[in-house]
Amino acid sequence: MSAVIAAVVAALAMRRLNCQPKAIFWLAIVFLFSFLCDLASFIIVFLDEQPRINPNIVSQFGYHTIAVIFESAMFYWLIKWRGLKPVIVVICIGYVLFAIVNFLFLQKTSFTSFTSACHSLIVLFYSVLFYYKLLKDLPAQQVQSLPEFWIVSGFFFSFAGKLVVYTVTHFLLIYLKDNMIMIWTFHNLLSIFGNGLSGYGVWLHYRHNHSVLSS
Amino acid sequence: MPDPRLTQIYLIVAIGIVTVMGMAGSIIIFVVFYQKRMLREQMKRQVLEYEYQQKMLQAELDSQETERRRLAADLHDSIGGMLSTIRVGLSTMARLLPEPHAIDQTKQMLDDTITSVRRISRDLMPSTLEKFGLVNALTELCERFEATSQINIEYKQEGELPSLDKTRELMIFRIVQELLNNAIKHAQASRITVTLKAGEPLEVSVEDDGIGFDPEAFKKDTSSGKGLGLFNIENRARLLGGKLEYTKNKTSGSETILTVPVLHEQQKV
Repeated sequence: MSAVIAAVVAALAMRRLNCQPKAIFWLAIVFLFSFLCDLASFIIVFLDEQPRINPNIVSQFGYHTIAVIFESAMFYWLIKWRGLKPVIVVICIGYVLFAIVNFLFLQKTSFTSFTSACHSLIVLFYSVLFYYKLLKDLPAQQVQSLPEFWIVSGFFFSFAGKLVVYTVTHFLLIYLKDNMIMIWTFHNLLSIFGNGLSGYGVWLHYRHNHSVLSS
Repeated sequence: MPDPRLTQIYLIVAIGIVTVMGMAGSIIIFVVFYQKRMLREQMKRQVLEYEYQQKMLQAELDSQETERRRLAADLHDSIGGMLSTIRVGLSTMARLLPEPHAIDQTKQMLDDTITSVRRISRDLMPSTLEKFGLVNALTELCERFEATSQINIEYKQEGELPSLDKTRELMIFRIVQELLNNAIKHAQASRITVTLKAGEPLEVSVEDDGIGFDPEAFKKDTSSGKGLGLFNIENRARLLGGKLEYTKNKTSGSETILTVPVLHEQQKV
């Protein structure tokens, strides 16, 4: 369900992609990538019930490592603050290195939840930065009418919840030998909620087509 | 039968998720309300700034008018008086001279000087405006400009002008005076029409058949002082709560229309 919503949002954001603001372009990439990772995991499981490649590697390590780069680009264009570029570059490099180290040494056999938790923290940091910039610039009378507000709120809500999920995942898997069904349920519910909010933001953007995004 | 310990942990995780999402929600609600509050404060600040600017402008124009009034009075009463006394003295001296016509040229020059001093004094502070109101002052202004510039200046009035505050009348008068000055000095016009349409809003237009002008270019041209006149006109219009419109696309000539609300003014009276 969350993958379907991601695909719908990606399709919505990809309409006339060349004429769209860069933030929408990167949003489309983020959702498309999310959908493709989910699809890849699904295909792996569908083809072989006991796959040689762990589908979690595709959907977790692959997705979480690369998605941060796309999300950083998207937030950079949403926040519109030139000084943020070097910070983003440092965050991305540091994060990718950590993800690789975590995958190869720390959580090599289990779900890479440390990386995912880090991913959530980074998105929360970007979101808070966006809200701060929103309060500083006061771009509109009604903040609720801004598509970027809803897009970021979607990410903020879902990653706030996911941070809790990813923080306890390692404990549940290693010490309680959990089967991850509940974890995925929580994760997907949060994704559905977040993607829905972001999708609403994209829809608002197409409805008004004169948001701050375009300026 | 699910492990009760695991169920308990899931419950804690669920509560944790809801709590964190609640915190995220409260941050978003804070952003929304704080943004609204900041916008309100920004609006208040803008209104205060605007009011302060208006007051400063009003004070500047008031001091300008006070200075003009003082200069006009000094010119008329002091220099004008002295020149008239000199004129009387010259006439007396002329009668004593063996050749009385020898100083005719000097007397003529003195007469011209007295006329100039009176004109300058009247331009500085139109006594007609204070005594007989805007309509008479505008009529006199047009006649005076026509006499001195040799340009056909027509004054037209539509409707009965309601009584206005003296300060506002003076501002309208100064705007028309400056527009006429501009038309005579820069427009190369052969005919100027000043029209006053009484009503709500009051409309005053100055139209000429000259070469026309671009108000934006005029305002940018600070070197010749042309822009200053337009700047003053616009400031006065702003203080009147009125609006100035320039007809730009006329192939020949130009028209400037000033609209001033009078209803509000009458209510105040």
